[in-house]
Amino acid sequence: MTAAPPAGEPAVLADAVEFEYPPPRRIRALRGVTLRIPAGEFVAVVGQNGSGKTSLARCISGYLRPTGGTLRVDGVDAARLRPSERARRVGYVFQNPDHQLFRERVWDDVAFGLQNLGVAPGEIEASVEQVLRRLELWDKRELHPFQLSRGDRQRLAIAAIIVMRPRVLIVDEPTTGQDPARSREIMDLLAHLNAEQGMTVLTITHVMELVAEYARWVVVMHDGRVLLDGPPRDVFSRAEELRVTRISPPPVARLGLSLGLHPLPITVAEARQAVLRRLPA
Amino acid sequence: MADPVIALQQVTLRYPTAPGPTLHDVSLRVEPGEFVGIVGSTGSGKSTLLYLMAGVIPHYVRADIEGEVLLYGRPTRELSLARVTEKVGLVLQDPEAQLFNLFVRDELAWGLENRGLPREEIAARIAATLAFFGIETLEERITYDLSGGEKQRVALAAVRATAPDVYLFDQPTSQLDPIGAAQVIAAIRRLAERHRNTIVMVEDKVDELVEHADRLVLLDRGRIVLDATPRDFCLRADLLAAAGVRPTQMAELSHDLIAAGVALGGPPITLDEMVAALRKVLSVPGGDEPAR
Amino acid sequence: MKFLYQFSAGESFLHRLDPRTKLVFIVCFLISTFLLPHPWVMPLAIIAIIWVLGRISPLEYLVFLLFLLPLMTAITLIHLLTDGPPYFDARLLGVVPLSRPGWDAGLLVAFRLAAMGIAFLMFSMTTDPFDWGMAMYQSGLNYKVAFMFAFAMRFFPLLQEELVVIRNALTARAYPAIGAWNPYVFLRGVAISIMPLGLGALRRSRDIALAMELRGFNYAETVGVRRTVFRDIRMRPRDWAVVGVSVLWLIAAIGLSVRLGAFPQIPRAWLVFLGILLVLFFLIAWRISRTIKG
Repeated sequence: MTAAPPAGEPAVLADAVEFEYPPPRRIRALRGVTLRIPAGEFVAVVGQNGSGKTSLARCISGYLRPTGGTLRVDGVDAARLRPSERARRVGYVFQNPDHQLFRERVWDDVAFGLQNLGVAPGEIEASVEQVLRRLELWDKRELHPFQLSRGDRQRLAIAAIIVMRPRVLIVDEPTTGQDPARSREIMDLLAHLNAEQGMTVLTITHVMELVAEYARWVVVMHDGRVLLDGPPRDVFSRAEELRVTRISPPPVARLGLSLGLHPLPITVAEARQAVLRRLPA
Repeated sequence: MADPVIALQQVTLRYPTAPGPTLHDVSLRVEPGEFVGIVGSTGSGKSTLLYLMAGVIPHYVRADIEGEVLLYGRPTRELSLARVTEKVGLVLQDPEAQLFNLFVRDELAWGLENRGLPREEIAARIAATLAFFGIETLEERITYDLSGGEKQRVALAAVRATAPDVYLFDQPTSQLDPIGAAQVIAAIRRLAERHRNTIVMVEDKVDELVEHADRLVLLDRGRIVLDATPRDFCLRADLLAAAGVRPTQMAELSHDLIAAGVALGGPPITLDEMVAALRKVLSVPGGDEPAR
Repeated sequence: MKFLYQFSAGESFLHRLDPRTKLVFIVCFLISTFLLPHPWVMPLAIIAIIWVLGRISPLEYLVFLLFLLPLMTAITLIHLLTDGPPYFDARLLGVVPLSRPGWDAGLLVAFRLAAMGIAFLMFSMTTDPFDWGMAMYQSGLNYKVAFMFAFAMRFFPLLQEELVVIRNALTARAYPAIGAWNPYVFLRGVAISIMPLGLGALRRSRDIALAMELRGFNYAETVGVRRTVFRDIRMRPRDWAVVGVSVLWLIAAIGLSVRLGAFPQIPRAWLVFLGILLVLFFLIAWRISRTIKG
């Protein structure tokens, strides 16, 4: 449905972006963020509460308009778009699925966005079915969202956004409150969307093990700025710099740092390889 | 031997609207002063188990139960929920759902007001509880302005002010960021270390529990399939996998390395243990002991 | 922005008054507002009282005041256009007559409304809802009813925050919920937002009810003890002083009103009827409060 972006156009291009909440809160959430995220990337945005990671995500999605600097998402200023144009470019899945259930049937909730976009009914039916089957919600399409389990509601919230085929997908803490198995299922889904459809995925998360396993790029936020960004391995190896954010690399990475293993292992499999390689003959 | 604090004897439980039982033939003892962790994936019945211990089932939520649930030797179904809560405190998952007063101080007082304690006693307990958790600075704060970690600590403090003997926790850090989670875990540790309170904590992951629990119990689709020390628990990769639970990364690594023929001792399941063990194996300087 | 009607903690004179005192003051103030002829005095007076005795500057509730302006304008306009002669010389658009008594009457109603609104705002800004609830409990209201009322106010800000998130989520579905000019779109957006707000509240309320039960909400009834009220709520000398001043003010206002000829002509029969209604109302409220267990 949507054409691929011109080759080379980054998904996110931020230059000294600032954001200050309006009075009376007056919090300077972003104090000069400069960032370039290529199209098709799988990015994890990490940082403590208050570091600006959510504000950054909201600016990228166009809900918040930066009070300083320039921010181009998919080549345009997302804040200036109408909701319908914005929804086709940037999708935002909020943290709490209960805040995103708008219709009384699962099927209707997924169709809702497409209806607002003025998509033809035939196409809506096809798209909704495809997405519901993909997310294993097809059998539950007649149910009221209230009747679904938490995990299913989370998947429904994601379904309702991806059905609109945004080029950039932002998912806010999909793993908080989920058990490890469900968290992995969601990350697998996001990885699949990223690989199959070339969707740029940006996920906010606290779980470093998942960051290590799924993300190809990590942005570490601290105090309203980008402290570090790079592939997970690079970011986790800069332990001294990470210390100020109180973010802990996954245990195997910390193990690698203590023992001086190179390249730094960030998953159990890599740690196994690294140790075996280092054994005295 | 002293009576167990909590004893479940061959409990099978079915919710009225459920197609099948949520708990099958569950038997469990919790001894005074123990820290027991209960681990399972979603749908394993772990919260149901905790609610049974707290008296929530059968007094607040109905279910068909076979077998006995005993608190200090007395069946919970014979006691009112009010009486059970005198002995047992339960902290829930959602920080937003446990604070309903405006100020923290009032939140701590509320449970005591309900019991008709005299004012001086309430004031004394509030001061003592705030001091115990080191959260005196939160006393005048408005509850809805607190961070997630602060809210959970206040919820725990509010429960502690009622002075139960036993503390039950239902995934207390699952909705929190890492800093908040660390603060809550530290608070729970104080309970365990300073007063040897009996603690039962339900989690869907083992990482925190291996460091603090005396015993871990694995629930798989309503059955207890494992009840062991943290170390032995982490070694049963087969049972954990079947139950949908992952061991710690270090335990997983131990398992893989041992399978590959590396002599690790222990085996190590925490980061510190692994570092120490591997320092020996890899002859990395920095360890205290000489290489084997 | 302090969300409307949100309590702001403070140590001012008004904050420290018993809630019942403030209620008495407001009732006397409101009655006097309806008796006195100069409309603009009362809103200014209450704003001054809030500022001096409550230490809350009008800037902090500016949004509320701004919200009042269109309301007041509309009321004045309606009276101006619909009341009878004598008329002003000027005419609206050269055609529509503008009533002189309508102008006075409109302003009167508008300013009285403003005074009323600001007076209630004073109460909610300076009164901890739990103090209010517990004061009512001590005066005989059923505990659970009193507590539930205060508790609803405690959750109000949370609901407001959630509504903001929900409306943003609605925008994420390509629905122009925010900044829509079309009233139908705007209203439909509000209606659609109610469902997630309501469901979220419902879900949370089940957890909250459990948490309350676990910390002894029904303990007193089950075990048979009497609840303690930890907070120190009682009528102090300054409360009685304020009550005295309020009643004296009301009497003076009645006197002044009669003297100025501004006292509204209410047939005696109506007054008696009103009095009976009030008494009945309180009797029924008491009865209902007693029947709720506990």
